[in-house]
Amino acid sequence: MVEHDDSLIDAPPSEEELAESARLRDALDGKAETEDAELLRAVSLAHAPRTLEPAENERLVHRAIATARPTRRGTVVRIAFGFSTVAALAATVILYLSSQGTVARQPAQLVAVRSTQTLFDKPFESRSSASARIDRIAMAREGDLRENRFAKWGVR
Amino acid sequence: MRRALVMVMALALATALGLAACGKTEQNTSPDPSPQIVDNSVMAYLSMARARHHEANVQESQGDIAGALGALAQLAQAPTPHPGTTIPEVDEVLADTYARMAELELTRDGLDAAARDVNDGLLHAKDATFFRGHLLEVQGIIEEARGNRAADAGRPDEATQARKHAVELLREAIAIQEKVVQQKTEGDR
Repeated sequence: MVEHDDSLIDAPPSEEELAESARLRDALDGKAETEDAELLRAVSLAHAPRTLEPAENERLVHRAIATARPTRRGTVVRIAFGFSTVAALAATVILYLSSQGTVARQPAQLVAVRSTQTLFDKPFESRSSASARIDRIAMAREGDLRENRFAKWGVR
Repeated sequence: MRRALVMVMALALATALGLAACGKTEQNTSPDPSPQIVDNSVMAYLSMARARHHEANVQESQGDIAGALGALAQLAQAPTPHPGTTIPEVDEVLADTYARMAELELTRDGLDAAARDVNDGLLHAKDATFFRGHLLEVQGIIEEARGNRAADAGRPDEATQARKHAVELLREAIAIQEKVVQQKTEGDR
């Protein structure tokens, strides 16, 4: 328990107390700014708020609008557009590359018809060897047909 | 607002590029003028040709020249795969078939029929190949036989003319065969 000295209550104010009192009064009148005055003014306005001057009201509204942050809705729209654009571009690239690959592979895979000249190393003999030549041609192209079937089935 | 407009334009551009890519894909997958491939039709024809030649072998081995010629004639008259499309295998098989038919006709002195077969065969062998060389060789042998027949019949002028023609055809055949052999030798290097 702190003990008070009652003799100090009736004592006349010192020079320092008078000066401090005057500074506080000025601050409460709005003529100066001190931490104590700001606190006391907030307490006073909370108890009995004074009417806001029209000019000050206008200034506060303008300041609030100027510093207001944009709503989240605009951000969401931009993100959606951006994502759609990136997705569309990616799909375009994939489609283009896949189509290029498909077209390039097709012609090289299938065996085309062609002369059978390469199957024979020397001029033909008499008619007795004719069926042997046809055998050779048919068997060679049978292999080509098998290759083409495998190619169409995607087997290599 | 301005940013949203830019985004919309970018999206439109991307969509346009996508459609362009799709359009290009369709264009590339459309039928192209690539060569005919070896397919079931071509193989079926070759298989049929093989069977006809073996049928002719059987008939010939039994001394039935007419039967052998009949089997080969059916091959020569059979429909060919992919009408209107040049298929070298089919032409070469037909050229060789006509050459065999001409040789069979020779065995029974059918010189005129043999000459017709050779001419039909040459329509299927226009380039310098063993097939054309073989047909010209058979044609030379036919003219040689014609000359011998004329000589035996006491027509020396006709015999001389036929024999001269035979030599020309046989030399032409040799020239083609030598050219083909040379091409093959150079190709092997």
